[in-house]
Amino acid sequence: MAENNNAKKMFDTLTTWMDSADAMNLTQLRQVRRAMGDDVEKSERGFLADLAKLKAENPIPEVQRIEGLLVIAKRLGLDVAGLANQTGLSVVLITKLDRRLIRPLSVPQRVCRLLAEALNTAVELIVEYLQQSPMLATEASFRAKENPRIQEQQDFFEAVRSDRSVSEERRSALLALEEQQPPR
Amino acid sequence: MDKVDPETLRLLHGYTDEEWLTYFNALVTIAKRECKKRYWRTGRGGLLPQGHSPETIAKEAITRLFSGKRTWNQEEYPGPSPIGILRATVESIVGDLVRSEDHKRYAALAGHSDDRESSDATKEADKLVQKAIGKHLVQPALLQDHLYEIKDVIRRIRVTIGDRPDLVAYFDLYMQDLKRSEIAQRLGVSLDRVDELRKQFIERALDVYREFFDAPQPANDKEARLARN
Repeated sequence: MAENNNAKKMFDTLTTWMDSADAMNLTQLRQVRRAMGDDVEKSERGFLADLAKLKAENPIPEVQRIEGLLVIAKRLGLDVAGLANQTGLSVVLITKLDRRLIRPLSVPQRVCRLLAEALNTAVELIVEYLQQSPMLATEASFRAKENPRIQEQQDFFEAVRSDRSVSEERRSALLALEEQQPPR
Repeated sequence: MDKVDPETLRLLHGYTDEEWLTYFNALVTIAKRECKKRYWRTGRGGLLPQGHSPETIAKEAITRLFSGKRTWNQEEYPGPSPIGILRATVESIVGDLVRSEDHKRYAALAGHSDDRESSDATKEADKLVQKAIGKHLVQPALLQDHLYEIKDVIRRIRVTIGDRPDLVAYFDLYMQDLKRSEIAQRLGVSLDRVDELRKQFIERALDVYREFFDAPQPANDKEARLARN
């Protein structure tokens, strides 16, 4: 048994680099597979054909779009401050999210869930809404002399840090979510 | 028909062909290792049941994610890359294949269901191998052979990279199962240099690994050798 364990451990160590294949780039991976006797071109052609079939058989389901976070909130009898309170955000953050001025990938999943719960809708719809292009400020669009420009999207946590209206308690709770965020 | 999470489908449709090819080739390489590990230890070469190969296993893992047979739990496998969940699926498929085949081969080892996809399939497969060894269903001589074979591979790698003392030093530390940062510290080099040494070591040692994995010689190698002769 000890010999088997020893052999197993040595095997594991000797082939660790294969287990970390996901850290290699495509050129390296192709080189490794070719050297290991695989017909990579044929294999990749077959895979891409199968992938096309998989995509055709499993299309992205059409989702009903929501008109806006504040539009739904209003329908539910919530104003922007009420929605901010229910979700532990601030009026500024809600407004930025509503106008999609926050980079969607930086918005923590928990915030999307809280918004979905408060607005009585699906998380996917919230995510889909946040992923659309940033919205123009309605006021700016008719007051400015120049053509209205879309503001650049901001990182969610940057927005939390720079938001002077949010209470310290809420700020800490929101910033604590940053540690749980996957690397971007 | 399993229900597929729309967000998963959106992500899966969003990757470029190049990203998919990277995931696919990585999964085939990971599957090769998984298969060899299991079957080498039971003394059964690289033969896989049900006509499977590392390539079909990689494809099956991707199919399961698309079809919803395998669910992508974002809390367990966070981030936009599917490689974590796909790797776990590959390990699970290989574990199930070993288990089902061991069922057929070793009727004495009952009590393992084949039709479920357990998260601890790997551990169960390992237990089966241990049980088989315990019951002398695996020839004891094989254990000695395994050690000998591994030691021979290590010796041959050392010979192959022998003209490069930096690679030999890297390989010795690599075989001590040290982390990248530990290797950098021991060698007194940067992490980037360790990555470069690792890349060069793999390139140089691939021939030895190919033979260890009983893989055929690449076509262009064969042609080159024939031309030389």
